Amino acid sequence: MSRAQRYTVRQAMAARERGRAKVRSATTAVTMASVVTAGAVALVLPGAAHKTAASQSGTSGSSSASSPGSGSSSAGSSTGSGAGSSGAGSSSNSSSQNSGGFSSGSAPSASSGGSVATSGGS
Amino acid sequence: MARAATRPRQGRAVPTPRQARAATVPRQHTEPGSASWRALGTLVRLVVTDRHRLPEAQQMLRADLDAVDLACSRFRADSELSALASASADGRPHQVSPLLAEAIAVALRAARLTDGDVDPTVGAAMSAVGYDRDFEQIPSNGPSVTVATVPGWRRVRLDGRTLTMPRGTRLDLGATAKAWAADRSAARIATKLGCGVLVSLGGDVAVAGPAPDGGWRIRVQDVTGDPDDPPAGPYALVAIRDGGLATSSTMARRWRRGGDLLHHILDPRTGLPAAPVWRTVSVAAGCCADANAASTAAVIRGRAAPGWLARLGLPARLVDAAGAVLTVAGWPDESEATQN
Repeated sequence: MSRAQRYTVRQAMAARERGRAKVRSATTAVTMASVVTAGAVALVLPGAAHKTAASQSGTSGSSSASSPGSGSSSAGSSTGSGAGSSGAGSSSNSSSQNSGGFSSGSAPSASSGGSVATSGGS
Repeated sequence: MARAATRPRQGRAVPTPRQARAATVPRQHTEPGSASWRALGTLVRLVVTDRHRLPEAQQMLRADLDAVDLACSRFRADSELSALASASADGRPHQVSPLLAEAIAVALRAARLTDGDVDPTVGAAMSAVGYDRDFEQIPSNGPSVTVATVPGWRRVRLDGRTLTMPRGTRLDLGATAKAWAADRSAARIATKLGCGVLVSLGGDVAVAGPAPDGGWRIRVQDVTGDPDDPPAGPYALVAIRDGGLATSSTMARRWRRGGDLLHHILDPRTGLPAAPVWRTVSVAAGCCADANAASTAAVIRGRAAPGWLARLGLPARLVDAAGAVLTVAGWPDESEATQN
């Protein structure tokens, strides 16, 4: 990868952090080094995510943030020209919508013992 | 939030349809049943509160998933979505099936709710970074990849069943179709069979009908697996009674190109895998499609995600790259939930 290409990708990632850019090039070569760089940038940017110190897998600490405040993104309520506006999902469960338009159900509760399913990436 | 089925009856109130269905099922005399198999390129998990209903439930779910796969698969040459990719090369309006129209509508809704973080027009970008076939068939290593421009969901118009996209747009419904399919099937099965149903498609979990005592117990972790297998990495055990729960993670579906590690959650603004701020985000919502949209968007939003989720009031659990856990908006604190 050339220096110029690397710079282009870095520019794109920086612009993403500012939340305003799209990559215009259709064939910019990229390596994950750029992504890692962007991640490093994100991790050192000022901002208030309430989190505890990192810990090893299996013994992670935790904290909770019950109030809004950190972050500066919008609540996702833009009205574009996309015409898809039918309700998501077709669950028969009772739910309500919050101000962002997402449906809300009852909050999960802490549990113990065995589980009937797992939820992770796939 | 109290559920209709658990509210005490007053006077001679007429039971709701859900109460009526629940009343016909003697839950105390039934045992749960479950089954697992693979479909849509992922692990399917079906649980019903009455094991006698399992065969019929399984038959319904298999049929539903076959139909969704045939309509929405980006990797099947015979799918409607593949045909659409060819047909829409001219940028003119095209009629799509009711099922595909519903799937696209859900995807566009996710895009709108997330302000474009979850964008169905990333199909070409996804292929460009190497995810161009069933994940099991993707070479684990390969040469450097390219970045493709994402047309943007705002340029897609769906009027009923008439779809118009910019020339050359490739849709990828992978971010939303499984969650929507889980919602759809759980509701259909619960309504028809009159029992409680959990459908998990690769960890996108939807529940419908009467929940078992104590709720549906779900282990939240980095990568979806068999609940009988021991967990790997940080996890939590929670119970839900309605709606859906979804987890998005950069720990699953990863591959190397040019020596670099890539994952499948793309930031549509760059066409690149999202920056590694959160490795795993789980969200509970009124339906699985919304939970999935929020969890995927949270991975892409990075440090802004906790505040965004809290403002929306969506209970969530976020795990950072080092394994530290953050919970927001009513998700049980890890000291309450079982976790290691």
